[in-house]
Amino acid sequence: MDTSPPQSTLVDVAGTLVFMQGAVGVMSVVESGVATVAGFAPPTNLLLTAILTVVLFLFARGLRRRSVRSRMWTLRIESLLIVWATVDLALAVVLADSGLGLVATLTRLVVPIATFWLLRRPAARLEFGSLRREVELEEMTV
Amino acid sequence: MTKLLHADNLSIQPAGEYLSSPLYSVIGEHIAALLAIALLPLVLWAYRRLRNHATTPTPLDPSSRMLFWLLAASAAAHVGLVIGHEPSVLTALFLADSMLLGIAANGVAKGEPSYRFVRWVLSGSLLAFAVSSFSGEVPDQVALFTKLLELTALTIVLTPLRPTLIRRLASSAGAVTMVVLVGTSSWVGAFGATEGGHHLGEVPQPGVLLPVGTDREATDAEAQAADLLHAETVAGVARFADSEVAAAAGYDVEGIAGLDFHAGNEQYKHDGRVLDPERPENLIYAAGPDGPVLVGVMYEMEDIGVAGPAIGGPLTVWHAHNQICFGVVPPALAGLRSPFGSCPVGSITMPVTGEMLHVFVAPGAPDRFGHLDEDWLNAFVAGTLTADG
Repeated sequence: MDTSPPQSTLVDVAGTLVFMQGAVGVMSVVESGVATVAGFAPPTNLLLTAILTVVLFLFARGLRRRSVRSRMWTLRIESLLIVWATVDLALAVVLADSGLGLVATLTRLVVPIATFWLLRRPAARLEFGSLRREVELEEMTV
Repeated sequence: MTKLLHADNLSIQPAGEYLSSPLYSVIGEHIAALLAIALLPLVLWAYRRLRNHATTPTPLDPSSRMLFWLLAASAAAHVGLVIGHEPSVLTALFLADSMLLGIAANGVAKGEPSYRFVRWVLSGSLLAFAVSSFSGEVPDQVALFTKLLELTALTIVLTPLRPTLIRRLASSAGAVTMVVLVGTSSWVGAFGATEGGHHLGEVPQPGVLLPVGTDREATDAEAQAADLLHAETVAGVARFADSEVAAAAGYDVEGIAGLDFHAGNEQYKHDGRVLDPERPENLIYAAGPDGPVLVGVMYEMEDIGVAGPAIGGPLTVWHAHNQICFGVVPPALAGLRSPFGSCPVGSITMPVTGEMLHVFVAPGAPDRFGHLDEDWLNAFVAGTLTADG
């Protein structure tokens, strides 16, 4: 059959999750676009959402190609998404005495945490080359 | 003029239970599906123990393992849906879907997956969901959760083995299209199922919270109180028909656009007064051809979790909002939380707001409280209403 690599690794799973985040981002862009065109939301959120969506698709592609830079930036983006979701969770607990909800917990906490965890595993790090090379690259970008 | 209600003579009550759009909640019939997903690992573990290690499990690569669990979880959810609903054509379809998903999962577990079959099963399940939502069924959190599992599984089976640029683009476009289709149909289902009003017993629009209760006739006392509130409000805000007068009183009337522009007054929102017809917390304007048209007001409670005084009983039902996306930069409404749980980037999710009540002062408004019909409002603003409204 003409689909799915027979010997995928955990990095491929992470890539799939990042791709799904991008796909959900497309839906968010559509929703933001409607809100902006209808005139009740500023274009800032639409722009930011579109940028993040494109970035997620690029990183998903980069992870498939085992790009060290993609892994590093995916980890940073996922960290940011987890922090942002935690703020929303705190608001939900304090203001509404509730959680994020089933779907939001999956898309905004479980998926980013799983992606982060998968990319931090030693096996995944090995796939992206030696740790020394990673450190060098980090130093270059800093 | 008599002030209807002030904080000093108002008995403050905590807000009771709210009814929310099913889009953001779990409906009773779907709890069995949720339980089925939760129990799946245990059931599979027991099944493998019963088979007593007669066969060595096929080692699967991580993507296939993930695919198996996604398919199995969706199959389990559909079994739960069969259990949770009364027998009908729908439950027969759930059962068929469950069996097909189970067969697909079994194929993956054995290391002999037919990805073409899996693609057909998943696409069928997702399209059936979209058709059902487009025809007015409101998906709840369990349905959306299950569809997200299926969408992720579809992404895996659409990944080409021999990737070329065209194949990759086609598979990505296919997966993204399906996500947008499921999301769009969810919105259509959620908005289609509501009557759009703010009456007790109605299915609320996404983002609206209504107190739990059933609609009933107002008593004479309630009807009189509602009439008084409306009359006092019409008289109290007449001077704000001129938006410059409203601006001088502290209302934010900058950039009036659309049919229901809410001009808030920060001072009145924190003055401790409730239902004061001369100092409503918000004025509602519509942008007319000859400038802003005062349509109504929105009274607002200062604190979250405090019930507004429904002095007109079922005629004056206060509502709150939930799952509102609020932009941080710049501070502004950014939309409603997506069926997939996210808000636009740069916005936080307001899980609940304080209670509020619309009172419409536009002459001849078909609904004095709650929600105003958009077609009527369009005609009113355009000045094309006939004498009988």
